[in-house]
Amino acid sequence: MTFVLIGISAHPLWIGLIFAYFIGYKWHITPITNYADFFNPPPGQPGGPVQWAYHLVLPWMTFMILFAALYVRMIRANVIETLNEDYVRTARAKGAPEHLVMRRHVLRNAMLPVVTMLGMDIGLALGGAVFTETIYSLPGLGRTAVQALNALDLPTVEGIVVFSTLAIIVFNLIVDLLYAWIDPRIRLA
Amino acid sequence: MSLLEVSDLKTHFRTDDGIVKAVDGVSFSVEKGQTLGIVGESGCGKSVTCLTIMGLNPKVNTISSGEVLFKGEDILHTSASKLRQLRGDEVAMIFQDPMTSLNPVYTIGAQLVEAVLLHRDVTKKQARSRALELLKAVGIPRAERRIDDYPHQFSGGMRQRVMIAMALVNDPDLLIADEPTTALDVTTQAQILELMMRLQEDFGSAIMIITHDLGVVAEIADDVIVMYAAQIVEQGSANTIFKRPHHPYTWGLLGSLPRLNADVERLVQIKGQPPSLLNPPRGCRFHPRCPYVFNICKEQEPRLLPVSDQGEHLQRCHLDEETKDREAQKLLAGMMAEA
Repeated sequence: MTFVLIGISAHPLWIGLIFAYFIGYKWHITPITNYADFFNPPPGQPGGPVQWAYHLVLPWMTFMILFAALYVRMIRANVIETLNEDYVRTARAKGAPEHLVMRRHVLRNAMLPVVTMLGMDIGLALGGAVFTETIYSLPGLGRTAVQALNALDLPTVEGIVVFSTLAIIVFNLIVDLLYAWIDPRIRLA
Repeated sequence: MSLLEVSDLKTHFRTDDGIVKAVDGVSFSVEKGQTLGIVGESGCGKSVTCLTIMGLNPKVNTISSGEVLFKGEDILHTSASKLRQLRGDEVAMIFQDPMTSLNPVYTIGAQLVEAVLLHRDVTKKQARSRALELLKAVGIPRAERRIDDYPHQFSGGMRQRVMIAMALVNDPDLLIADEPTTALDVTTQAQILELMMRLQEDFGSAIMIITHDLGVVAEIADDVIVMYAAQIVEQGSANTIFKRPHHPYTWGLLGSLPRLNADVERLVQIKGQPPSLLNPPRGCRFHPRCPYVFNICKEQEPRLLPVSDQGEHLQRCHLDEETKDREAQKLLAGMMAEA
């Protein structure tokens, strides 16, 4: 839970700076900032899948910490709540071993709200991770949006807003469809 | 040897306010194929008694002592895996609220099959046909089609039937029913009770039924335990309890039954609140609410003693037997006169 608290409290800008300073600058484990193209890198620049992943290690970690913390907290709360349900007691009364009670009866039900949030977050992430992209100077939607705002480049801002909205709507739709698959109560007869 | 023998069972829960003595020295036994009814008001420890026998109390804050022998084997202090093998196989349980006791995301068929596969070394297909057989036995119409339905597609009564089917699927020797009819409406209640009695004949299981409904007990129990504030206050065959009740609390329960033909404005009630189990009253636990209270009741806790001429009939009250017989006769005569 300590990790969770840190993850929720620390701002991604700060985490990004700390990572870039220690892991990139001090210990030379990863590149400090910048991006490497997956396909067709510009001449003289690093590129290809390996370089691409190598350059993205830090941004991924930064991005992960906040969300991992949020999800750990949420799943924990859901599991604790589900453990008190009557049907969990029924499963135990049937003689199900604890790992089956957990996997079959608790997790399946505790997953429902997590799926909702996951859909929203993937939609949001596609719309750009503003802070992470800014810190690591990645050419992403988030940074583009910030630059466009500074330059009063209205069409670009509009485009990004429309795209982000679409992403969120599409993922919400996917989540709703998934829901029916996970929870039979939502299916239409 | 009795099927189930419970002696001096104590279940205490550690809470922030102190130790709650939810069950405090309860002893009884259940014979093969017999029905035991446990009655008492909410919070008197009847459900906890059953959960303790099943080993379903939360582990962290529960302290249990005493002895629970099932077929001569101690199941209170046995290993978790041993208990798990017993649960759902030889001892099964039906819960109070059928609306929440079935997992909403699995079909009832899947949940029944799970119960079979946990204890029997059979194929899925065989397990499914066993499940189907049980669903038919508990009277689910069109069971072949309904086996693939989800719990939310069933009514309360039907869900309780499914729960009963699930409990009986492995032919248990003992069926513990924790207020199986409380959440159901009256006509459904009668059907479920009838079903349980019929299945008891077919399967030969012993039944422990917990209820606060004396009508239910009168209908199906062979033996009756009346519990008050974590203790047994009266114990005996259903016949003696209903013909010659010997404890003021039992009188109170009998007296508070609604009667259809008597023109009374209000139901007779037992005055006061059930005592706190954190800090039960000194002396007899029922004395603050007892209309027959006298000095000794406030000082000395009565022991559970046999009524003089009947060894099987136990009661926990200081009153002398003459008074008790007289009062019991008065009460019953009153009930008869109205009936």
